[in-house]
Amino acid sequence: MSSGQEAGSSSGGSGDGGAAAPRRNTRKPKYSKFTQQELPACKPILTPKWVISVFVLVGVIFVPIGLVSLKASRKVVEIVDRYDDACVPANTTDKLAYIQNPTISKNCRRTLKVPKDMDAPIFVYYQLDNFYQNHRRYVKSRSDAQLRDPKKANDTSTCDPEGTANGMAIVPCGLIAWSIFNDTYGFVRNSKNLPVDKKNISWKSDREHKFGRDVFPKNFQNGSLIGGKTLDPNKSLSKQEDLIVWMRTAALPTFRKLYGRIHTDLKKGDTITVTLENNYNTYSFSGKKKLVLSTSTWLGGKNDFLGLAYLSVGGLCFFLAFAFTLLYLIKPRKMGDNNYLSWNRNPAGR
Amino acid sequence: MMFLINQYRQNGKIKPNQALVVFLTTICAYSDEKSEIEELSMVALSGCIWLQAFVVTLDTNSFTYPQIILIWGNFIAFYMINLIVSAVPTLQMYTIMFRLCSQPSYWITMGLIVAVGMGPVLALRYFRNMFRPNAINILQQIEQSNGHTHTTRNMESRIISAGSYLTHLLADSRRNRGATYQPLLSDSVASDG
Repeated sequence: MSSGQEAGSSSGGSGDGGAAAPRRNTRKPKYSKFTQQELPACKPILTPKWVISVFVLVGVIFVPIGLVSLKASRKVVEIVDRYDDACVPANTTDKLAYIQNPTISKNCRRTLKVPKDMDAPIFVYYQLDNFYQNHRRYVKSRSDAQLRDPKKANDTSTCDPEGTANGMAIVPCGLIAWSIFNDTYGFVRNSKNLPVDKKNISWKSDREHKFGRDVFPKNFQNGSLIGGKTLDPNKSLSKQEDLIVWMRTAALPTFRKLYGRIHTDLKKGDTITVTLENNYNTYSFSGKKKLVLSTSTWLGGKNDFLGLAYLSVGGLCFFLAFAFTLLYLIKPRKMGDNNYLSWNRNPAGR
Repeated sequence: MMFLINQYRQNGKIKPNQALVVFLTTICAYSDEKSEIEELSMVALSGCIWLQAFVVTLDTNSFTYPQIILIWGNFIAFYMINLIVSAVPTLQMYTIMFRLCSQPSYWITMGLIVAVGMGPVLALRYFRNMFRPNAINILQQIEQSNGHTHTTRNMESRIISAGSYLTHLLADSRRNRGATYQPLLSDSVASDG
C-alpha cells in the first residue's frame, strides 16, 4: 500500500512512471539469512540434566588426572641441602667480610644421604632464595645484540652499570652476566668420584641462536667490583653454558638452575660427600643457597600442587553434581513457569 | 605479571576473581622454581585466553556460526600467532611457546585454570536460573519448551500469551504503583545488580 502510494507520488512528480520500478528495486536490501537474522541458531539453556552431566564429566576427567599427576610427583626423589650458613667457618662474626676476603679458603664439605633409589639421569641444581632476578633494572641490564654478534661488541648502552670498565666495553656486559653464580660442586661416593656432566645444560636454541660462536669474553670482571664467576676468555659465549643458563632470568625470587647431570644411579642408603666452593655472596641480601639433587618425570620435578588441585576440583565437582541431583529430586522447579514472572508473583495482580 | 593479567582483564570478560585464579594457579603449578620470566608470563596469558573463550561461551544465548567462529577462532589465532612469534630467534619469546606446548604440565595447568575459573560461575548461574530466575531466563525457558512445535496454533497461542503478559504488565503497574513488585525493566536491572 505504501509502496503503491510512493509509486504514484513519484509518477506525479517527475512524469516518468517507468523509472519507479528499477529505483524501487535498487533501494531494497539484498536478501540474505545473515542480514535477516535467520541463520540457524542453537540456543542452549542451563537445564539440570546438562549442568549435572557437565559436573560429573569434569569429575570423571579430573580425578584420574589428579591421581596420575600426584603419583608422578611422588616418584621424584629429591635431596635439598642448604649450605650457605653451614659453610661459614665457626669462628666467623662477619659473614660479609668472610665471603669478600679472597685469601680465606672457601672449600666446604657436605654429606648427603640418599633416601631412595635414584635412577639416572640425576639433575644437579643450585637453588637461590630471596634473589630477585625479575627486578626490572636487573633484567633489562643486558645486550642481546652484543651476545650474538662480534661486530656489536661496543653495543653496551643497555648494560649500565656494567657496560664498560676502564673505558673499554665489557663482553658480556650487563648486571645479569656480571652476577653469574660461581659456586662449584664435586661429588664422591664410596671413595669414587661421581662425574658431573656439564654439557647440554642450556637450551640448544640459546646456544645456536642467542649466543654467538664468534663472541668471546673481553674485559669481564675487570672492574672494581667482582660480581661472580670469571669466564674463560678463550671460549666463545656459545660454549659457556653456565653463563647461558644464568642469563635465562628466573620469574620468581626462589629459583633453581641446572648445574649438571650425574649419569650414575644412586642407591638407597648411599652416602654422598660433596666438596664445594662457597664463593657466591648471598650474605649481603639475606639470601639462601641450596644444592639440589633430583630425578625427573614427564611432569617435571617434584610438584604435588597439580595432582592435589585436580583431585580437589574433581571431588568438588562430584559433590556439586550430587548436591544438584538431590536438589532436583527434593525440590523440583518447573522450568519456564509463568507464575515465576514478577508480575504474576503477586496474588493481587492476578 | 599482575599488570599483564590486569590489562587483559580490563580488555576482556574475565572477572577479578578469575584473574586471581589464573595468577595463583600459574604460580603454584610452576613453583618448581625452574621457570623463567617469559614462560611464566605466557602460562598466565594462555590462562586468560582460555578463560575468556569459556566465559564468552557461557554468556552467549544464541549460537550461530559467526559466534562459534569468532570465539574459537580467537583461541586458535592466539596459539598460531604465538607459535609464529616463537620462531623468531631475535625475540625473547624464541622457542618459548614450543617448549610450553610440549610440556604435559602446561596443558594440565590450563585445564585446572578453566575448571576453577568456570566451575563456580556455572554453578551459581544454574542455581540462579533455577531458583531465582529473572524474566529473561523464564522467557528463554518458555521459548525452549514451545520451540519444539511450530504449528500455527502454537504461534497463535504465543501471540495471545504475549498479549496477556502485556495486559498483566500494565494492570500490574497501574494497580500496584506503591507495591514491591516492579515491571520487567526494573526487575532485570535489579536482578543484574
